Amino acid sequence: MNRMKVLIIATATALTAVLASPGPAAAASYVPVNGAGSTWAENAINQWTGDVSQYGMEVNYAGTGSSDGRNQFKAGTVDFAASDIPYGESDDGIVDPPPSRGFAYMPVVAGGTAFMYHLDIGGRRVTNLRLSGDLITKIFTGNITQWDDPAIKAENPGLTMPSRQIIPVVRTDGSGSTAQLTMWMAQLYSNIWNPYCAKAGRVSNPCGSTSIFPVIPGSDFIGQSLDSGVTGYVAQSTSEGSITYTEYSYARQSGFPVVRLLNAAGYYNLPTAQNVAVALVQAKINQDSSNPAVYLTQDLSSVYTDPDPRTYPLSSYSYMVIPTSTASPFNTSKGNTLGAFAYYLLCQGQYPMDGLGYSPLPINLVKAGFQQILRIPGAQAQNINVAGCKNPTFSQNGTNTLVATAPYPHACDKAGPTQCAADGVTALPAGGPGGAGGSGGSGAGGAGVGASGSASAGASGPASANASQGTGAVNPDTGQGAGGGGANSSYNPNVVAGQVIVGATPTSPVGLILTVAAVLFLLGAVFGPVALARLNKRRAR
Amino acid sequence: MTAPLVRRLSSGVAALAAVAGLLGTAPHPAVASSTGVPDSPATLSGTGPFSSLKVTVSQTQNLINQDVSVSWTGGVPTVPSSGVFYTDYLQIMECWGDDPATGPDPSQCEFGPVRTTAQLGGTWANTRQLTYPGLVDPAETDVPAGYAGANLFMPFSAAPDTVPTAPYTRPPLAPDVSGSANYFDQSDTNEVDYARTDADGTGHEFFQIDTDREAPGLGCGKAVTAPSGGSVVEPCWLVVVPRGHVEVDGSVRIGTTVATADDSSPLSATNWANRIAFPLSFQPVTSLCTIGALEVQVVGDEQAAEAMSRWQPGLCQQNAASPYSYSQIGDDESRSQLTSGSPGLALLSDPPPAQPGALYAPVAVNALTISFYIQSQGGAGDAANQNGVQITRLNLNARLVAKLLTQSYKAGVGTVGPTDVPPLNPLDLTADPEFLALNPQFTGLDYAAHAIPDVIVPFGNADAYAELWTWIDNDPAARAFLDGDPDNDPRDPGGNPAYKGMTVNPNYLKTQLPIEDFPTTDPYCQEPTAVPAGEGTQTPLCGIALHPYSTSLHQAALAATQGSQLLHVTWGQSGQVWGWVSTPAESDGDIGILALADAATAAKYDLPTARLCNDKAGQPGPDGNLDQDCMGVATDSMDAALTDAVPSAAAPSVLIPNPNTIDPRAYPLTTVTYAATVPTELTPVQADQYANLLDYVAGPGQVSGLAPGDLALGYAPLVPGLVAQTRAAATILHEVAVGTYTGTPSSTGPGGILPPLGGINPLTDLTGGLSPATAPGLTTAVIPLPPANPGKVLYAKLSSSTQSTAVTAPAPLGAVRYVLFGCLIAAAVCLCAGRGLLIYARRLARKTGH
Repeated sequence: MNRMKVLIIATATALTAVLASPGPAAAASYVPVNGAGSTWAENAINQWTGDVSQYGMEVNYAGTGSSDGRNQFKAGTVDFAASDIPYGESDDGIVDPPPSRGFAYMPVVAGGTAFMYHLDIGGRRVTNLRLSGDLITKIFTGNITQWDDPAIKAENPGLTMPSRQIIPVVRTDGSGSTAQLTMWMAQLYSNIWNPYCAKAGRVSNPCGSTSIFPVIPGSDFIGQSLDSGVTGYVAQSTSEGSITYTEYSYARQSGFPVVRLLNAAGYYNLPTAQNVAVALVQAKINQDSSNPAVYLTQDLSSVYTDPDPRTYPLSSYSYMVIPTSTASPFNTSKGNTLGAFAYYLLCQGQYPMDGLGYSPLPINLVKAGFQQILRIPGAQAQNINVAGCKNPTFSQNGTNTLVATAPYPHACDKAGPTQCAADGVTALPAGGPGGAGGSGGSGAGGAGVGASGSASAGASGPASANASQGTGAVNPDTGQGAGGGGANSSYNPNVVAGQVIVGATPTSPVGLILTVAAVLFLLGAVFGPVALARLNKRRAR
Repeated sequence: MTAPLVRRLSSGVAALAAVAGLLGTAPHPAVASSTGVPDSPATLSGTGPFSSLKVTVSQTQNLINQDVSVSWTGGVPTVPSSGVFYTDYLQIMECWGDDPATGPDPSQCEFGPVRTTAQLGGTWANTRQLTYPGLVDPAETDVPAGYAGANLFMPFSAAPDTVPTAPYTRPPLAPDVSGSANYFDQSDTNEVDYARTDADGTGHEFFQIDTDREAPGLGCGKAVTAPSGGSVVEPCWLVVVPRGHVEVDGSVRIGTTVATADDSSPLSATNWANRIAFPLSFQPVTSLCTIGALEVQVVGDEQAAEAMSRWQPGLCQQNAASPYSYSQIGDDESRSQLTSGSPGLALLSDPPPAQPGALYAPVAVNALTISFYIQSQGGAGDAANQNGVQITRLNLNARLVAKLLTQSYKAGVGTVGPTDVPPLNPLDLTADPEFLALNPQFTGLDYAAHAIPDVIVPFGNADAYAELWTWIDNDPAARAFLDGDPDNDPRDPGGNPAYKGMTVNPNYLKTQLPIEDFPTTDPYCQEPTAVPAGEGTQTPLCGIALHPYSTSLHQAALAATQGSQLLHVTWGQSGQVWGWVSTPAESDGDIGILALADAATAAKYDLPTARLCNDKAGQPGPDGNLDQDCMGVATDSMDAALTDAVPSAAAPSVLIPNPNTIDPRAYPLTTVTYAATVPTELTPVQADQYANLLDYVAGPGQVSGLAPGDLALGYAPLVPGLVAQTRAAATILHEVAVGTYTGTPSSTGPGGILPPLGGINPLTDLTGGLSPATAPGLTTAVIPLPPANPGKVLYAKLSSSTQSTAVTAPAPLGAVRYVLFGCLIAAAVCLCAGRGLLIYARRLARKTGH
């Protein structure tokens, strides 16, 4: 160790001595708490557990799947669980009974269940695929097996769909994502879903939602565990033609595109934070606080059919299952910590959610969550209030800022003869490669910029970086959040999908200049004589 | 205590070796605590039947929440020798208690919470239970003689908030463990239930010291009120209870089966009498920040994540009004945020192609490592004594890593049914002759039952992963292997005719590199097997189902410490529905796992990391010296790698490490993370917040240590040139905050701002961690260029001594070499081609009649 380092350490010793003296803000004493469950919400929960450690709070979380989380909470091996679906759901006729210890549901984060796909046309990654729920259901029930199926071509007039097999990739472990998807299919497309489910060997009829995706033995469906498994599979270079369902966060982590899903208004939308927030305005939250088994559980049927053109229909939120008794292993010390953690995640903790691929919870759910926190034994009631809650969707006038500023979709995103190109704004076909089924010429003539959005009162004005608040300002042209505050660079499918060339080899500018110089020198040396000869020739004439 | 925790604590070259390695100091370094307090090791002997036992604890004073090393000699070997613990092992726990004479009472110890997982020893050996059917401890006076009632348990008393004025008295025995459950449970207790004594009578464990924050029931390091007023820092104890093969009632236990194991609790009076108690003193537990202030959002890569999480508490101590939040996001997303017009602050390593006005400040020097948790297995003869002992040294070269990452070992695909893997290929790494040449310590071991064919890698993309692939791509032997050459090809520069001739899994043949993720492309599926009626229908297990990804480097390292491969290949019930459920971790003694981790994450989990060898290592003859040709990750080797880094073409103020450095002192996979923003697009408030962060990073944040606010172990502290760059960037941001910043044209370019550094050049003044004295034999000015290698990175480097004396003008010297080289080549070409073409031109002229 050289002298410099000794010096640094000596300096640091002095600094630490200063740090160690009691600070002006003595933090409350927290005890460790442990949880397990949803992988859908795992990226969000990891964000919170990481950030609260600076407050002396040790919260451990294992993303083992919603079913496992509910089981562990029931068995008393964790203090809290995270689950995308509540207890009491019937799965293939088997009811998942609630735990005997007291519990309550608290919403923690919203998001869209996205369909991540891997499809190339002519060696280029497709990023603007659009599908209706009907087609999604047919794909995940084996009724549509080819990417150039006429029905898919009809919904994608700007794409020349390749003759390639569709490989649906599903979760093999007990998963809330599977439950969300199958609930949606069971409610809207029961005529497709129920026969498939029966064929896959499920006893219950109608099949309803299920946590473990039913697969017909011998089919070409691929099964993988956890979100990292299904998205990891789709991202393989050998997995072209595959499609899976996952929380949007994982698709962004993979750098792969997700399907623009058709909503009830006839627009194909991405699961952006804004589109999810708009959709969840229609979520019916069970307000029967006298019945803890259902209080605050979500009824999403109106979300699925929300007529707002900005809606992403497969939107939902994930719960934390919190204890309301001190049955082992819980106690009031843990309750104090869990209460503070829960308040943090509903308020400040919602800021980074957009950047991670989730949607921040709106005020109605936050307020309802507060009521649940108060039921945690040991939670400090005086600290749970809206006034101190720094949630990014709150505004002065009580509206959800995310909904108020959500952009309207572009005209090319409307179901019909045109389709937005990879840039998200240019309408296809526009004399382009001529998609099958496209009625050439009737398109929006290439530009399409600003062809929509006029209906939106909120989505006006240029993106203005709102410094410290980060209240997702929105660029009305692209529909992408301009995100102040640093965290909200909303997903731009073009940017991500455009990253075909990867891992550029580092080159120094000196090297570059020298290379250019050398090439010029060589070219001059090689072709110079010829040129000179020509010149001489001409002169000779 | 849970099995995973046992493994975690037993893992690793761990604290001592990791600290020694990472700080690049002598084998017994000053402990990496920022207080500068040296080690305070203590050794105590056992008593009675354990009088030959000598136990050493590596540090007993000025403790914080950290791991300490517990090692011993003179013990009786544990029976049986692997897997489980039936007799002759040690139990370790932390206790509170103020009486220096008597030491702690068992009711003051964190041990034996509610047990819900399988145990590895006798029936009550990891419990607080004191009454045992068929077994009575005559010394347990709290249990009435002839007691036949309900079971009784050792109660737990929590440490008080004031110094007690009366001697401690144990509360009455309890009917259950609910009393202790308020303070600890199996998920957070730090006890070590079973510590193995190896055949040679020695043993080693890592014990996690908990402070008041982690274990409020013990209150270690808590300021407690003294009777005289004022306060004292609560001390604690580390207690080792050795277990023999004689039970509390005098009966002999032979330990061949669980029926003949030691059954009683270490808290039983007879066992407790054999305890070895080490007094511990603590640094005062500092209060962290108050929750509730609005956090400043920062995003970035995982290479900086561990540093940020340790800086956060230091930062918020300095400015409680603005704590920081760190979101780990993909590098591509960071770059698009930086260029979006709302740059925020993003931590990344590769800058976007061009971002005028961007400002880059180096914050963290880290590295990618292959970390490992491998226990010696299957040894016969003398090696049998080592079975179950953790191996802490591993050498890998680029070709071996290429084999591991391409499913080229048989077990890397599947062992049931035919696969695409060439039949000559070894089962796993440990059966590969090339590996054994680099790792003679594995000779004679047998991992056939628990193969090590691959590395746990994360899914998703990162610049750091591309750097790893570049290292492989530019290594001639590894590249040739990926192109299909067997590893004994005589044309192959790294080839050795003794090898069997292993070839790449054809699914990876001619992989175009670099890529920035880890493909798992072998299509092999393990077909479902028939299951009993009512247990559902199995789905095939394909590809990554058999080789799952982790979600992050952090999760990969954590899984390794737990002996888990993250597999879900066990058919079982999830709730009441049948499906593939999480596969149990490997048993103690059977663990063999490699995990990709950054150096800081590996250090956090006490995981040893593989040394990376060049192609000379392991060759027969004097050239193949494993110590000279294999480089571990450490501050010095990361600093050495920096001297070979090159400025980014997109942003000259950003250094891009060259993984294929030829400097033998350099660790090839070193990474540099920069904080990036665009000052002119910030609000004054943002600029001020980011400036404060950079001020901290360039100051207190560069002190390696374990305390909150320190630079996490595993990172190399920034060298002076990089610190100067960060300080200069902070100055610019402060100017933006107060409105005095005028980005002059001379200081900005298409690749961003080059801040004025007062004569210090971050691109050359990288020698902080190096001195000629530590690197003898490297004083030559220029290491010769390697043989011309078309298409590869051409590298040449100056030694540190030359650079440090040529700080003012190093670039021209470098450029001159290139120019000379270029001129020579050009001249040669001109001589040949120019002359030939002239002749041709004349002929042409002649032919056309002119």
